[in-house]
Amino acid sequence: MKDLAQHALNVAEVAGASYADIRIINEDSERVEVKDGQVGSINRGASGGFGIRVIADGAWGFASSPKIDKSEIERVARLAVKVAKASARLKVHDLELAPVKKYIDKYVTPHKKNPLEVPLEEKIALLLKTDEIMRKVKGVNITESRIAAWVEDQLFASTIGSVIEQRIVQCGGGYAATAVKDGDVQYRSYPCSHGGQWESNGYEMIEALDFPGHAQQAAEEAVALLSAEQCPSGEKDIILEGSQLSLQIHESVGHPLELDRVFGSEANFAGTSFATTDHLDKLKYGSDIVTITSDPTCPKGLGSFGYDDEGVKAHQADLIRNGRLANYLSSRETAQKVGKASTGAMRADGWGNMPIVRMTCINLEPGTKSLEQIISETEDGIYMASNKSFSIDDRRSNFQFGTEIAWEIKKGKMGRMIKNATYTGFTPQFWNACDAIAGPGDWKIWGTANCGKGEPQQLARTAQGCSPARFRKMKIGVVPGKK
Amino acid sequence: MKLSVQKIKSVNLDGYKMMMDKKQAQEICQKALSFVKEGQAEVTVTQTVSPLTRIANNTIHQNVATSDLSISLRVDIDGRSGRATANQSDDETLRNLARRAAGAARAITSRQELPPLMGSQPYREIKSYDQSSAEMEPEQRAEMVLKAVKLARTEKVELAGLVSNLAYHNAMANSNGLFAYHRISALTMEITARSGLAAGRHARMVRSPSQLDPEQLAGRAIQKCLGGVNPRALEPGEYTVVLEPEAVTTPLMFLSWLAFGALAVQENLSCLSGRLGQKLMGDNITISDDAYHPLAVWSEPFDSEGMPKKKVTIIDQGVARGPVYDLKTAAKDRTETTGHGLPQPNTFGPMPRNLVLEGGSVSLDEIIKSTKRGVLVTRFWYNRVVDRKTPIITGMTRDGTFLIEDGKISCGVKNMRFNQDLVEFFNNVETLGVPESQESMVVPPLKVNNFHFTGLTEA
Repeated sequence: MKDLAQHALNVAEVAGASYADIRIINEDSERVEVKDGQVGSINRGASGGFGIRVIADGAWGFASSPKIDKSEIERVARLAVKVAKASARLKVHDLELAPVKKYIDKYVTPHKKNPLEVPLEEKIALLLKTDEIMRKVKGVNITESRIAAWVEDQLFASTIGSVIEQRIVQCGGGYAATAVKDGDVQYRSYPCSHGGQWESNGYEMIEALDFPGHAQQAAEEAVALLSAEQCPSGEKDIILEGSQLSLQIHESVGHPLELDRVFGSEANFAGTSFATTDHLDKLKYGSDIVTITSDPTCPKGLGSFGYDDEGVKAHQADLIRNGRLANYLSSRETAQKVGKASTGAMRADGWGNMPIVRMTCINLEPGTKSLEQIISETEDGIYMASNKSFSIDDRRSNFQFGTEIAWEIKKGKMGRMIKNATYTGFTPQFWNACDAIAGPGDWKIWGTANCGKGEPQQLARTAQGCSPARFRKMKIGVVPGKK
Repeated sequence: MKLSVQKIKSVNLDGYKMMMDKKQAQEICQKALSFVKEGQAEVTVTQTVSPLTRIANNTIHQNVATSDLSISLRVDIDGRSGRATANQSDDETLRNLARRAAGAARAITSRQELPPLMGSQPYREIKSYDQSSAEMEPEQRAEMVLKAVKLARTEKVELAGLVSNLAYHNAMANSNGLFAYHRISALTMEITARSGLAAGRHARMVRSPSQLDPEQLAGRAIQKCLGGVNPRALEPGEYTVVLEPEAVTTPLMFLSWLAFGALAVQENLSCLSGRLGQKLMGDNITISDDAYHPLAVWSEPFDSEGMPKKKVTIIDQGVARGPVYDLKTAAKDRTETTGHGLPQPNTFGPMPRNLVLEGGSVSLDEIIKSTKRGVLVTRFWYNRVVDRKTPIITGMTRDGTFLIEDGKISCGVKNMRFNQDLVEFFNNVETLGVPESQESMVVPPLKVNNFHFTGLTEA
């Protein structure tokens, strides 16, 4: 494979490329779904191919193919150059890239049990057992659970001389119980919503989640939500549980700080950003206690790796330091435009897509108090948990989130259960309203398995780490619901 | 070691010439099935060539030529089913594919409720392939971009967008003799024009390049952008909205996966549950799923079970008639499949793919002229479900939102957030215009009263 990779680079250079890189990838995957007491589906996937990215005549070109042999490598390398030369017809200036070191290296996700080598029978048995516990709870109508895993082997080589081999091991899962009554539908998930928790990790992470141990509670809460109070409308202090806050970080910090997006690359699809480069080092993005970093070295993070998809070594970088905008998620091309080094955030969805700037692990640094302390110090608020809906404008400013469940907080104590909780706000005002973040004991890295961006659309697996946090005077109950 | 120019073979760069034809697709299907030694099997072979030229800041900033093959094999053994996929068609890969799928099936210890694998089916032909869009070169796409950008530079705006052509071949077969094959080609151009914080968008998907005028398309986007400079802020509240067809696809898309499939109805999750035969929407609302509609650019005559697609009238002059079915949900309701199945087995149920909202005879301009005061919406964005059953969705307006006063567009307005009950929406439709193609759907522009805007943003 290394010989083929080198041949590809040679062909690209002879065809006119001033820079070229190639990723040859094989990804194996597996997904098991259980629903209402039965195995719903089992899918075992395998996808292999290569993608060649070049700069020719000062512009990018990319071509890919699932067929990995010498003649196809040559065809695709020359096609990538042809595509680049077509792009160059509209260039304003030649591309410039921030420098990167040459690396000859290997990386494997730290893990104990390869999730694809754990017998299917074991996974099915776990999900059926969990499912049975949920279905025993009266009032539960639908039960769904899943386990999925991916193992990707990648060879990266570039005309800089880098040759990097990586094996990324990822897995996760979760479940939900749904209760339906009198036109109302409520559900509760474990360990979090939108399919579950996902990590760069071995199967041991699924074992540690103890699916059966939490199934009854999830099912009981789903039923209880049917008769819970509707979320009131008004202004309240809100405390966001970790998985909900992780999605808030994803949508209102990770995405607006993708530098390619800031420069207009996503204007036709994912949108732009309010955090333009004139705000760098100036914008008070959040309160003084808000520090958020990009850290693809974070253990277990779904957005962790050894090197990004243009050969930049994974490293931690400040995005927001003590509330102030400090840097962006960037590539070699975009970083150069702001006079900085790449933060190593170029990632592609498989071999067939061109890398674009993506989130890695976007982590909110923990505070000092425990969650219990923060709740006890909240006079009148709402604790919201597990995301149910999320929507944000195309500049990443106006947002609206909803959660599966919430609880009233009165005089420092958790009270009655609330359903259909929603809150809305504007990104910088929201983060500047953060006045308490729980400590390291409550900190967790949460995975987002299907972040969409790019044209053609790509899915990325990202992560956001955080402890629960409090935000003062947020507008809640924005969607009138049924009683 | 670097190669000299002379030593590199002159190779045909065109991926399109390597696309499988019907005969080759059938051969791959048969070969895949031949490696299944136990039980019954079904295979789907899909090949796509999908180059895309992407535009930002009046330049081509990303330009990709991608192709892929997907072979998906389902094996059913004694009432248990496993599926495996691969993207190579050599013998060793197909042998492994059969082994992995069968292994998955055997790992299941108790029987599943599996739909059967049906035999040979008759299919209606849908003409959806045009060589001129299937085989476009990078230079042709760049030329289209150049025309659009030239206009943008004259108007001093910046363009983002894409030009993409697609060739798609899909074949499926099973061990009971079913074989189906269809191919689609399409050309898409999307343009978002920007000037400061103002933006305007226009997009089309067509069968052939001759149906698309890049300058005209870009011109519409640019006109919207320039019309939206210095937007006003409107107070949240209920408004009459005039929706361009792209915006109309949003409520329909959500109804398609939340409400119009039989599994959602059977599970009591759909707004149709318990309401079949009852008046649910306005008299002027008729929604069907019709893969054979002449304006649908993206459609196939069979579903993922190989069953022929039928036209289904889901809402008939406001009355809920019935959802779409697959084999499993049809058996439960003792009816016939309508040909809307997803790959089986699955936990999602059937889904409409080609919704058609019957329209009227007035143009968008005439609808605007007839509006005393309202908001013209180009499209909705980041739309998500807030309440699954009702259903209520939220989202934002984007890329061209305007105030209509006394039948004229008076100014641009800042983008707004909406929270909208979709059944209520379809009870408040005042006017339906002339339908047009929106990729897989056919929809008219609409005037809708009492639309709920609940917030606004800075731009």
